[in-house]
Amino acid sequence: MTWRLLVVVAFIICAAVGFTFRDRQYRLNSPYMESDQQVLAHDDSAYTSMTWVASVSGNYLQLRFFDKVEGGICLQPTWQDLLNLHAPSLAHLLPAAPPTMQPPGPLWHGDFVPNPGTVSNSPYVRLFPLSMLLNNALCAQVADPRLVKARILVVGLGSGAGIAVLAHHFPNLAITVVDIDHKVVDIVKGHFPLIDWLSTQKRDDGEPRLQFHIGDARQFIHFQGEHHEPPYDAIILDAYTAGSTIPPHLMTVEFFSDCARMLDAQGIVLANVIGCYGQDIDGQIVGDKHRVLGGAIRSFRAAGLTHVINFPVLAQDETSGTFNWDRTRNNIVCCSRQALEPTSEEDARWTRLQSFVLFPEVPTGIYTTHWYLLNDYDTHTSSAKIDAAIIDAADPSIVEHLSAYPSKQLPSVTMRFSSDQQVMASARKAVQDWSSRSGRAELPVGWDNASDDALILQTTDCVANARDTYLSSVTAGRDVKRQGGDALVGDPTFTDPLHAPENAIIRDAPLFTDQRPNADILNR
Amino acid sequence: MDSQGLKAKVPAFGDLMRLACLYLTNIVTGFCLMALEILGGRLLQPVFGSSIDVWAAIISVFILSLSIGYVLGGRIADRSKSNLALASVIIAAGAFYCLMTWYSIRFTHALGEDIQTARWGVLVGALVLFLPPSVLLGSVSPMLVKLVFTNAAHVGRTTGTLYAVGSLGNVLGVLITDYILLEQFELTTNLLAMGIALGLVGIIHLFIRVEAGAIAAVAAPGAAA
Repeated sequence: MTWRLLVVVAFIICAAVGFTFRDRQYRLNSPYMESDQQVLAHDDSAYTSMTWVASVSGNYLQLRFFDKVEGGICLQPTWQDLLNLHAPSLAHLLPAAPPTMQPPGPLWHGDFVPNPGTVSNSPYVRLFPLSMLLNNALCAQVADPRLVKARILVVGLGSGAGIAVLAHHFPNLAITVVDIDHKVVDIVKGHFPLIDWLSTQKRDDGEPRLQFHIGDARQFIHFQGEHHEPPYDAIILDAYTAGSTIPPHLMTVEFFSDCARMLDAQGIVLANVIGCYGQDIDGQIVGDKHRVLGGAIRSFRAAGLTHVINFPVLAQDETSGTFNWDRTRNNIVCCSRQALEPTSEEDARWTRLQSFVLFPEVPTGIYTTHWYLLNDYDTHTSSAKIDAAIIDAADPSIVEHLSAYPSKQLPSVTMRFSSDQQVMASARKAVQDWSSRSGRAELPVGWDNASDDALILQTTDCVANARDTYLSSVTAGRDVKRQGGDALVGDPTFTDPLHAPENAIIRDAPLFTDQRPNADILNR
Repeated sequence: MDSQGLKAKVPAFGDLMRLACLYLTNIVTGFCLMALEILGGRLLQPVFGSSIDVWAAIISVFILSLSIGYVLGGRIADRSKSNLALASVIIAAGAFYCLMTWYSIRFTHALGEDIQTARWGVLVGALVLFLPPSVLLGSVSPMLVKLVFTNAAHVGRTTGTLYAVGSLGNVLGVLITDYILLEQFELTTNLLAMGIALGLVGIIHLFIRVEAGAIAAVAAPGAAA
C-alpha cells in the first residue's frame, strides 16, 4: 500500500510543478522588446495565440500572433487627435457618438486606454492605397483620386492597420474583409475603436463601409464568384499563418484565377508577399523565400493577371538604386489585366502615385520616437536599443556629445552618435542603474556588449516616416527593368512548372498550382 | 450445467464495474493521445511555423511512438498478472502531460537557430516532446487486450471492441480539442487538465485490482460451455 501512495504523491507533485511553472504563450519580459510595453488584451483561438501590445516609447499598438508582430498602428496621433485637426478631408472619420469599447485585459496597467488613429506602424500596409491609385479607369471618374468609389476585398485582417490606412485616405470605399479566425476579428474590433466604429457605418448608397466575413478565403472567393456578385475593384491578399507563410491554397494559379474572376476588368490585385529577389552566387540564386516571391508572380501571370509590378518595401537605409537583393522583406505585388508599366516620363498614373501624400492632414514633428542604440560602427549593425528618456534622465549631458552619423537614412530618421568611450560608459551605466532600480531580472539585451563602438540617438518622425517609406517603395517600383513581371520571372507564356526563363531575375521561380502548390519547401 | 456456469450468466456488479473501468481507460487514453497531436501542432507553431513539415513531423512521431508502445506494452502485458503495470504507465503519461506545460515551449525556444530553421528541426522538437508520452499511451492498448481477454474463441470480438472504443476516444480527442478546447482554454490549461485526467484514471487502476482473465466469465458468458 505504501508504494501506491508514493506513486500518487509523486504524480501530485508533477501536477503541482506543471501548474506552478506552466508556460505562457507570450512573454513580454523579453529583453529584446521595448522596455515599457504592456499587454492590452490576449486571447487564444484554434489558429493562433494573439496579443495586443502597446508601447508608449515605441508609439505603437501591435497585434502579435505567437509574439510575432502581425502589424501595428501608431498610438499617437490617436483617433481623437485626428478629429481635433478639424480637417474637412477627415470628416468621414467623425463618429456621431464615440463607440463604447471593451475594457483592457487583466494584464493592462496603463493609465490610459489606447484609441489609435490611422497612422500605421507597419511600413507595408502604407502601400495599400496603391490598389486604388494604380487604377486609371477608377481614378478618371473623379477629380481627386481620394474620392474614388470602390469595392475592395481584403483577405486576412491582421491588426486592421491596413484597413485604417485605406479608410483614412478613401472615404467612399466599401471594404469586405475575409478572415478565417473569428477571434482575430473580435479582438481587433474589441480594442481598435476606429475599426469597430467603421464596421457600423454605411456609405451614402447604403453599402457598409466595412464588413467582415468569417471563413476560408478560398471558399469565399470561389463561391461568391459563382454567384456573380458585382466585381471588386481591388483584392488585397494579406493572409498569413503562424510562421510567416502564406497558406499554400491561397497561392496557386487556380486561386488567383478565382480572384481574377471576381475582379473588375480594370481592377488590381495587391498581394503582400514576404520574399526577396536573390543574388546569383556561382550560378545559384541565393536568398530566403526568393522562389516564393517569384512563384507567386509567375502564378498571378498564369492566372491572367499578366501585368505585374512589384513594390519592394525598402528598409530605412535603402534606396531604389541600392537595395539589397537578398534581404527578405515585404513585397507589395500589384497585378492587373491592364498594363501597369509606365509609358513615359510623364505617365499620369505614375505622377499620381508619386504626388500622393500619406496622412496629408497630420502635422510632422509631433509624433516622434527617440531611441539610443549601440552600434558596430563599421557594419552599421546595432545590438542594443532603449528608450532615450531613460539615458537622458540619468545623464542629460550625453546629448551634447553627439554628432551626425554617416549612415544613409530616410529624411524622417535622424541619427547622431558618439564613439567616446566615456560617453558610452555613462550610457551603459544609466541603463544598468535603471534596470536594477526597476527590478528587472535581466539587463536589456546588448547593453553589456563591450564590442560595440558607437552610441547612436535615433529619432524617427512617425508621420514623415510613413510618407518616406511609401515614396521610396513607389520610386523603386517604377524601375520596371528590375521590378516588372517580365524582368523578374520572364515571359508569362512560359509553362515549365519548375523554372522561369533563363534571362529572368528569379529564374528558378516555380509555378504554383493546386497539383503542385508551394509545399513550404521553398519558404526557407 | 453446474452452479458455476449459471452464475456466469448473471454478471456480478463488481465485474461489470471492472469492465467499465477498462473501457473508460481505453477512451480516456485514446482521447488524450490524439488531443496531444492537435495540441502538438500549436506547441510547435511558435517556433517552427505551421507548414506541412510540422504536420509531417507530428504524425510520423506519433505513429512511430505507437509502434514502439505496442511492442513494449505487449511484452509488459505478458509478464504482469494484474493492472498495476497499466496503472503505472498511465500515471507516468499523465505526469509527462503535466510537466510539458513547464518544459515544452521553453524547450522549443531554447533550440538554437540552426535547428529551428532547418527542415528537420521540427522532427527534433516533435521527437523530444511527444515520443515519451505517446509511447506510454501506445503501450496501453496491448495491456488492455490482455486484461479484457477471455478465450481464444472470442479474441477477435474482444480486441475488435477494444480497438473500436479506443478509436472512438481518438475521434473525440481530435474533434473536441479542435472545436472546443483550443478556443476556450489556454494551451497549458488543456495539457494540465488532460494530465490530471490521465493521472486520475491511473490512480483508479492503482486501487481497483483487475486480474488478467478474471472477468472472462462476465465478458463471454457461456465460454465455459
